[in-house]
Amino acid sequence: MSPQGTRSLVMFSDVSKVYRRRQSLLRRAGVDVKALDRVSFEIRPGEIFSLVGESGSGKTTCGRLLVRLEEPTSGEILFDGVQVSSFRGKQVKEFRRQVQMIFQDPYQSLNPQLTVFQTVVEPLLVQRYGSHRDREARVQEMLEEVGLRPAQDFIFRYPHQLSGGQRQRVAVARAMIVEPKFVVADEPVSMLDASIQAQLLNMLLDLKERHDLTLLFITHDLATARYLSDRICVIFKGRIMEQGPAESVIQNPKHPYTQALLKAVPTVSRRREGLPPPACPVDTLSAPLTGGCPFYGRCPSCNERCREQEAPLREVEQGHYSACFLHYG
Amino acid sequence: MSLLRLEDLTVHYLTARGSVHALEKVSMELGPAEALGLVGESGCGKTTVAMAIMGLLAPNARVLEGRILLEGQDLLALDTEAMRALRWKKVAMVFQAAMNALNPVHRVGEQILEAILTHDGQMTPQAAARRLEELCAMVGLEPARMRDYPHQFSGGMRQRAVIAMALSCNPSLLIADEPTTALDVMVADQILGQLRRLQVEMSLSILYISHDISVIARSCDRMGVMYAGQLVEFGFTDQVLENPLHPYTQGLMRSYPQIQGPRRKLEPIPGEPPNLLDPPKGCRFCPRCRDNGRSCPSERPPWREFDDGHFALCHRVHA
Repeated sequence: MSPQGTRSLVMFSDVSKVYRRRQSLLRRAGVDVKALDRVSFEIRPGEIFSLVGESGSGKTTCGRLLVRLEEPTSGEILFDGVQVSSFRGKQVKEFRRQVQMIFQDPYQSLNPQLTVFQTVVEPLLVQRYGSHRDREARVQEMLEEVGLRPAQDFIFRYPHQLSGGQRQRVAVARAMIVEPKFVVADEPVSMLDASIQAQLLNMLLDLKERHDLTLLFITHDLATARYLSDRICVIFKGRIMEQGPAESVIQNPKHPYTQALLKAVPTVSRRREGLPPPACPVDTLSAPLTGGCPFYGRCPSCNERCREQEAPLREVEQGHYSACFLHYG
Repeated sequence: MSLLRLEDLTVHYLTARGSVHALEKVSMELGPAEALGLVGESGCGKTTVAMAIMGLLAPNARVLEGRILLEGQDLLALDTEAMRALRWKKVAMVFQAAMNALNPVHRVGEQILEAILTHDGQMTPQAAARRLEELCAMVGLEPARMRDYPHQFSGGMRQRAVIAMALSCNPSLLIADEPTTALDVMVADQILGQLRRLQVEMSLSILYISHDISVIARSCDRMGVMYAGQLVEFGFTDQVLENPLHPYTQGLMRSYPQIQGPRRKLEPIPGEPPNLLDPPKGCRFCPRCRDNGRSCPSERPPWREFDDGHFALCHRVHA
């Protein structure tokens, strides 16, 4: 799926992840949970790529597989052309420098017993970077860059002495200090208030420009994804439903699932409409299925074919793919 | 005639480090069958407003000033027993993350029945069972699922169950504190739709509390914007959203990425909300404001009406 000549920085091809539920004293052998089902996408150097999905869609699993916190059940993940699972020894260390992660909850992702300095300097120690003085200077520079100014006021503080926004800035500084090529940001702003969210989103955009970063942004929020990203990939129950340039996906969604999702997003300009029709609760319809489209049953335009078969992704407009039989005629 | 009226409500929390100025002179009103939204960031005092109305303020809270009138009766003047008699029957609340507060070892139906019977001891078991069925229909749950345990419910269904519980005694006012936070977009959309139906079909007044201005925009007839313990703007939803008067409201609206219209650069409000142990003397928003005047840092701004029913707390706004 890479028509242009640019080589992709990250490539997922047919990646599946199955969580097996083992039999135990208290539990009979359960059903396996298919978190990702043959997912393929590529991330190009210098772009911000968003994975958007509801809870349980598998978006976080993608991120965890990518930074090698977990191994895929099948399929391949390539970073810079090399299979991630093939890295050994020194290569792992270098990979871990080039690929960094920012987590959702800055209240949990920072060690409460470490000061800001200790937290941010840690990756430098792992990478055996310079002398103590070099590291101090580097930490200071990094803190100022993420907006913790003057750095001297912050380096001796503990996480509980920081606001949520400041903590997330510390987490960003820790990720950025080793000059990674690629950053996975998993819901980095969803715990923060709106005015603070906007500050952090703009900061991420600035960092990306200044350091030539490539970013995978994982979110449930289509509006934030639109704001940040070049391309958006919509994922639902472990499958990619739609993928394309951000504006195109938001303004002109192709897949009925994306259309339904966009319709459900409350906006400031969409006011108190009349009474909504009494709908059958969407979440009671989530019958597990074997094969077929995961949106079957809730989709306004589904038919029998959708129950048994899944539509492969098809390019409907340039660079804009959708997995629906609607596009197959 | 308003159903609920807050007059100059001022609440402090006494802590070891001093008193937290949580609410300062908050005044607003809510009519019968009306939906009113309070929007603001964490720590702005919106949940304190709800707790004050419910008579459930924390033990270290002190109401320094003001009245809360429900159908003309001052709730703050009631003793514990009188308030208990009124709570749930007149005013009920769906708490933040309440869907996680269901007891995991009791069936959902039993828990709703308990809410019905606790507040009406006279009711026969048959009548209570009928009431349970009515409530299920109101919130969109299948009566057959009432024998399930909470873990067999999805997040959205648990939220519906908690709403059913709050409605069990037919209150005239429902307070919904972050009713859809932590729910998926489509489920959240349905819950908000369901609440809107209840409001219209049962003439229920709803006070929504949310950090998300778009949730308020979708559901409310009137809205108030809170910042650092003060109500800084109040008016009809259309007025406030189309013509926001207070610089904080304006800033908040510029901080939200939108899915409609052209993509525009977000302009965050610089800085962070003040420490309420020692709030700024004059306007509490002054340190972050773009439009500061001479009296802003030193004098409390006046609460003025600019358009019919559209109020703001600001020195600088001119009609």
